[in-house]
Amino acid sequence: MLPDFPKSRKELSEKLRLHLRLRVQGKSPWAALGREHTQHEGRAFSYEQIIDESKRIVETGFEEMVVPIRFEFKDIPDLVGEALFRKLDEMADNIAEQTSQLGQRRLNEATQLAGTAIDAGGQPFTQELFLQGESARDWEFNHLTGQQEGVYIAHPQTAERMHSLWQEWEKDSAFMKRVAELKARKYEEWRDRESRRKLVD
Amino acid sequence: MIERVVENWLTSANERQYQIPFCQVLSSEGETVIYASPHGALEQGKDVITIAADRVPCAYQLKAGRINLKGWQAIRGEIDELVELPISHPSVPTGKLHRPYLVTNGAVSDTVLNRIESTNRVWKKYNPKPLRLIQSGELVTRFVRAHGSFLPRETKDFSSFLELIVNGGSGPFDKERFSSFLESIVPIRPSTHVLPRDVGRSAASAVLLTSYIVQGCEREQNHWAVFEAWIVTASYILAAASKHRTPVKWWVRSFDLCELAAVRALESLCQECVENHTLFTQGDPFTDGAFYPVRITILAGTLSSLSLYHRLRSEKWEHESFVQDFLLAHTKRIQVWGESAAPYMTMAALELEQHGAHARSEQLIGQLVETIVSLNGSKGRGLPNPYYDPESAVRLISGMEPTNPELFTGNSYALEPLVEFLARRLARGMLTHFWERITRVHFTGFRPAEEWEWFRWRAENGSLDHRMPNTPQSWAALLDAAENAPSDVPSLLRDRPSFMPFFGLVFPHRFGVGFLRSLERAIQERS
Repeated sequence: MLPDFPKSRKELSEKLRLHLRLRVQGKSPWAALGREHTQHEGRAFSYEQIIDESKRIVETGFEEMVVPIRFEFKDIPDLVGEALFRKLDEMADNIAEQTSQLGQRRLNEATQLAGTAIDAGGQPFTQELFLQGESARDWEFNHLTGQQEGVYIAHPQTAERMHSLWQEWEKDSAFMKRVAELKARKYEEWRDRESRRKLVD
Repeated sequence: MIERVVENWLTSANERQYQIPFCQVLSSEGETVIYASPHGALEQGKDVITIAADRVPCAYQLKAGRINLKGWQAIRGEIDELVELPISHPSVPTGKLHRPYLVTNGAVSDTVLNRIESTNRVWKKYNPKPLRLIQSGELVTRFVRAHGSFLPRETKDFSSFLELIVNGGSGPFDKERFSSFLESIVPIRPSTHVLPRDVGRSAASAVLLTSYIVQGCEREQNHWAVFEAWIVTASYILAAASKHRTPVKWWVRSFDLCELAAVRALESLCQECVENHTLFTQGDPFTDGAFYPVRITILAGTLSSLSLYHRLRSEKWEHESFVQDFLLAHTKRIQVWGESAAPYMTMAALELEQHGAHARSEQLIGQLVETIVSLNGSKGRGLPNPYYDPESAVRLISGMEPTNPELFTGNSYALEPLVEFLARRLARGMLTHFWERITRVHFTGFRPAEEWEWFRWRAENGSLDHRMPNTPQSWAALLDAAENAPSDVPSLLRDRPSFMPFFGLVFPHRFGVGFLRSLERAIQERS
């Protein structure tokens, strides 16, 4: 074989993989926010879903993600520095897109099943729709600060629209009163859920 | 090539080191090994006793190196006993004449050969069967023959074999690489049926190959590594036997030899601890502090597992009280490096109970649960899962693996069996205290698709199951579940309770609800 340096290349490869991973997380909220678990053996996994207060076991397997990459021999000698990171970024875009699609699909399935999915049917985003969506899901609060926890995931354009809408809605005292009431109710529901984390007779 | 490997290994081995593989060779040749002196100590000049295929008992005395006249004179008394004293063993009828053998991994000088010939005439009046000699050349041939066709064939397997041999031997044993190598020897890959005889032959070859591979560890007296190697081999023998439903008679001798070798390694480790005067510190003082608690945890687990092994076999063990003192004095130094520490701490807890230290035992498990729920129930990286051995876990949590992004928060492999452990001890107060935090961690466990894959380092098929702890949890229901019969544990493991403590330590990713229920039940039945 031609002279080579496998040990150092392996180390470099690990560093590049980490870079790629961080880029994917930066581009896909699903990759950044989803709970991660590395499975060291086997090809299947199962987890529980809570539907109407009862648990259901979901048995499933892995989904393969494929990112096609093409290298020309003539390009390889110059694949360092910026050119290398550009190539990695292209891959990161592709992986992030697939991760988001998978996350979105799985969330849709789960929310449909739990009955918490709301389809606006192409209609504009309204206060009613917002309250309907918020009321359908469980809210989480920080134990120390009592602040509501959670993240909204939206398309950048939708997110911008939501932000400007919210600035308008904040001035609507009747709406804000309904939001405060909902928050109080959700806080009580959360406290009730938290109070069940105990060993009883 | 294998001849060279065997020759090199044999030349550097002492009689204790080649005793077990020699027993394997005899067994492969059709002799039934009925006794192998457990401590390598000479008893009536007989290190190994067998019954040959023609039902004649045979006694072997093993020596290392060249035997010249001076050496012969030094061992003459032992040889007299070997030849003249009849075998005293329940499997050999009283007074039955035996064939005596003197075995050496070196050569015997011509003068000694003449002496043996003339002395055989004198011994004839005590034992008409003459002393026979087995020297290094014959040993090499017989070892190579015993491998049959079960040798590494592919270049990569042979290269892996050589790399395992030349490994320095002072660090932890590379179980992953060794397992991968064993999978090229033990027939677990083919989907077609393998004949029982071939399962037996492959097991015999695996025993011999393990002997060659652990020579570096033996040279360094790295008993922990030697122990782990033999348990991995024993597990692969069970894997092949389980996969092909091979009757016990074909593989049990090889399995027993692996277990014996593992026990010997732990006995040596225990002896080293008994004689230790440095408070179990070792090497460069600047770096030992970082690893000292890990060493103490490993010692607590391995010594406890050895004591439990003897208990499960209803054997009295001379170092029982040493282990008790060690645990009482040193468990405060125990450190949870990751979830692979769980079996070590559990073995220590089970052993402490045997000495009536129930509060200390529950405290130890409580400490482990506290660590798991604190680290895995909050934000951060979490506690490395059981797939990380002590050194990998320490490297990871100390920032020595900057490119490894694996996270462990949100779930735990060891939590559910530990909760059940406490429930079985009616530690309701402790569990009540922990339950809120327990509910923030999912119970995780890997379920191999088929029984035989339990014994593989990594199962190919199976499911990783995640379960949410109940909110609320009924104490009565928890107690009920904890007292349930063990399920999902392979029968080959359940039927060998004394092997279970060892298996749990070496395969920490198999330490789950079924495993612990099964082990505790076996201990309870023998108490």
